[in-house]
Amino acid sequence: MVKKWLLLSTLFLLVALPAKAETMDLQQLIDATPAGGELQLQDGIYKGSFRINKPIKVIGSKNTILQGTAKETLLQIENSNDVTLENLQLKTAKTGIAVKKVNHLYMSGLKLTSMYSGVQLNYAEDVEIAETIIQGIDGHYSKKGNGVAAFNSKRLQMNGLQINQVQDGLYIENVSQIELQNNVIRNSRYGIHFMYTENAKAIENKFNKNVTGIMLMMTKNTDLQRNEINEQNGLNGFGVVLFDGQNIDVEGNVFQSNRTAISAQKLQRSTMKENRFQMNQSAVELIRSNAENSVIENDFIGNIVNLRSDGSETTIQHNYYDDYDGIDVDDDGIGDCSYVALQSFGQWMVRQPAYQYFVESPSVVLLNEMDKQTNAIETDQLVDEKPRMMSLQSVEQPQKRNIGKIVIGIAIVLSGLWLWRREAAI
Amino acid sequence: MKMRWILLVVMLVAMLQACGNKEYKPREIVSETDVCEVCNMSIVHEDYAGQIALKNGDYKMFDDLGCLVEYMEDMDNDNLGQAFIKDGGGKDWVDVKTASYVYDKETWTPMSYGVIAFKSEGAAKDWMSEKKVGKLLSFADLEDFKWGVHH
Amino acid sequence: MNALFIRLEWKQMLRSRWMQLVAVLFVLIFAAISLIQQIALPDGSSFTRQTASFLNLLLFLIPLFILTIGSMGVASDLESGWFSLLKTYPMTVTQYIVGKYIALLLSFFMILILAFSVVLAMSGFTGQVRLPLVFVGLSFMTVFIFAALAILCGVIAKSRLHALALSLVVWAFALLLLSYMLMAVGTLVAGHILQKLTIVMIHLNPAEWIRFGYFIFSGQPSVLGPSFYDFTNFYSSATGFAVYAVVTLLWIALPLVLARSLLNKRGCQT
Repeated sequence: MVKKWLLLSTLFLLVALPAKAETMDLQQLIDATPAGGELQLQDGIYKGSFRINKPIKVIGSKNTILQGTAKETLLQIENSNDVTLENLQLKTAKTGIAVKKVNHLYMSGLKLTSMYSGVQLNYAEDVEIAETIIQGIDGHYSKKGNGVAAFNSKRLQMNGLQINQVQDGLYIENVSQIELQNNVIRNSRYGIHFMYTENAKAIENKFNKNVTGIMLMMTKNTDLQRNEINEQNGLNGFGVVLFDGQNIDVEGNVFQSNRTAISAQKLQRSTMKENRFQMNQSAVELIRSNAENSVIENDFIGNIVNLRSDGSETTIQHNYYDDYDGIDVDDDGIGDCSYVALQSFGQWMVRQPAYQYFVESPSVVLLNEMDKQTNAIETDQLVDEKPRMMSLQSVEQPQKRNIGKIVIGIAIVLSGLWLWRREAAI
Repeated sequence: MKMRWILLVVMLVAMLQACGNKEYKPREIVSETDVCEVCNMSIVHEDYAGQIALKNGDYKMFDDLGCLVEYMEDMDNDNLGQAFIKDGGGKDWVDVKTASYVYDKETWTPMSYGVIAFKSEGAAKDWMSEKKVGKLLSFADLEDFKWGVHH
Repeated sequence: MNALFIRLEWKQMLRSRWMQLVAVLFVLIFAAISLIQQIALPDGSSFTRQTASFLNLLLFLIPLFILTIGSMGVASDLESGWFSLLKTYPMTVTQYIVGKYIALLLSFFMILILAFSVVLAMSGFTGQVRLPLVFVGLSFMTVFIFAALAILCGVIAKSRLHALALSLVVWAFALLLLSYMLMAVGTLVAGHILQKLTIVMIHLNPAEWIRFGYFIFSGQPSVLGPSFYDFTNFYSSATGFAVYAVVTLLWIALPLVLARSLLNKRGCQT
């Protein structure tokens, strides 16, 4: 009965509305919708700033645009439960959506553009944000806000978010139970920034060209799995920073072309397993009193420095290293002598940033070769006693012949040789 | 060939002498490159930043007072020139040893440690009476302050 | 007269067994390295161990060959009296130096072109070997700079053996010893001093100058790290490119001018 009444009232609203969308005041529409009702919005631009303080569903059409000003919050949701927002485009605001003390919030199909910061959640519980695009403003990341910022909240889910050009894509502070899946975060300062968070999961997200892909600080019991973390290669670029974490599980991720793939500091009881580190300048850095961590079954391919540490104890085992030059006589897939990742240059670089100039310079390459000889007896630091001979995954490369290149190449070689012979003849 | 060596040595000596002056000045923050020495965060909220000028002329930058204090506790005091923190308004650098501090659990800082610095005790008290929150601390209090356990 | 002299020099250069050996060696190593490089790595323009090994190969080999061959060529002219004989012709010292220099350039260009075209043909076969243009450009620049240094070494040396020793010393300093010394100094001094010394060394060491050029021109100066941010920023600007060109030209011109004046002086004494 109630439902019927709701439907009727909604229909009534839709019919009663004037055709010209620009003249409508969205706040009046919200106020007129009964608690628990559904408000269907037509295409059009709704200007102003709006508040929601009751259970409501606001559903937009293809081009339903909410437009604010650069100084205000566009949409405030406070002291309510069961709020749903779908198919809305929000343009121009200081903050797109500010949520405070709300239970059961669902947002999907939103698009937030030209705003200092996107969504802010404060004291929110059971929130789901899905399929949402957040495009930040131009300019340096120090001059803008976060994509989605969640403070003091519980049970959050964010799936399919696309965030570009903000400060921190997802800023998570003092949150417990959060799941982040299938999000794409690019060109920002940090992709995901965890602070004082517990029981978080970041799965199958993609990070590209941020300063740091995942910045995890003072956080416990968190899984980072199957993420793709590529090209965090700026001046201070890191794929993942694990700072003061406990029980962090980093598994099955791909790190490619980052300046440093993983930097672990004050990390405890954590695991890095089955990750693929390729073409990073440094793959794994373990510094400042780590304890009881393990780096196992990872692939290290084409990195300049595979592992470096300032002496903390870490279990390193069963990894594959493309620069391992031992052999496997008993054919059990495990190299017969241990792999030592210790490089004196790598250790210097940790201490003094100016040394980075020498990264893989001719002199350092020679130094590393000498290290390999002297390191053969090292048993203490950064030693993998059971290095795997084969990597877990293999990359298929298409073989394309290019006849043009072959012909030109051979032609130049032949004419060069001919010229040489002719000129050298007496 | 020899000229090059002489030049290099002369420059080395000149530079070593150049860093002998003993007046420490805070340097500008370069938001593109400066990261916190302790927690690695890039310094984007300059209003909360801190820095240490070392005796040898190097600078260590920090994004939050808590990181700075942590670094000072661990470092060799012989290297310490002077440590600075941005004052509550975010405009001026003040010496950490003479500044006054206010702790308030709800006040946001980059590491959410909740301690901000003020030029003088008066400024700190003004802030506290305006916001009606906070607890006044001195630099000595910071040394055994429990950072980051407030959540 | 000058064109004739260059042609004569160039013919002699190509005829020398040593030069032919160097050419074969160079082409083989280049081909081998670029084959090894194609282990299964996806496309990417970042600085990896593979790109680094290519760059290092270039920095190690080209200067080594060009310094030894070039300096010994000049030294043997002086030692054997060929230079004295040449002076009886209407040829100035400048013409001699320039002639020697150009002949050296041309023969090494020939080797480079052979090596690069082999790599190009191979890349056609597998579709994988990549040879960025920056490498090609820098190889030619390396030849330009070290050929000039080679001439200077040859003029300074008193005999062929002395020239060989001298060029090996220069090579070792440029590629290895200067860096090691700087790294050692770095453990003693503050970070900002190490940073400044490194910048000075980049300008005073042609090998480092070329290596630095690679990072600038391949658009990845961030590899050098945040402490060189202002420095790399400057060299990535239009003014910076101009300064880079000027310094490079100085590295070519100064050794040649110095060689000429030394040779002039020597001519007066004998």
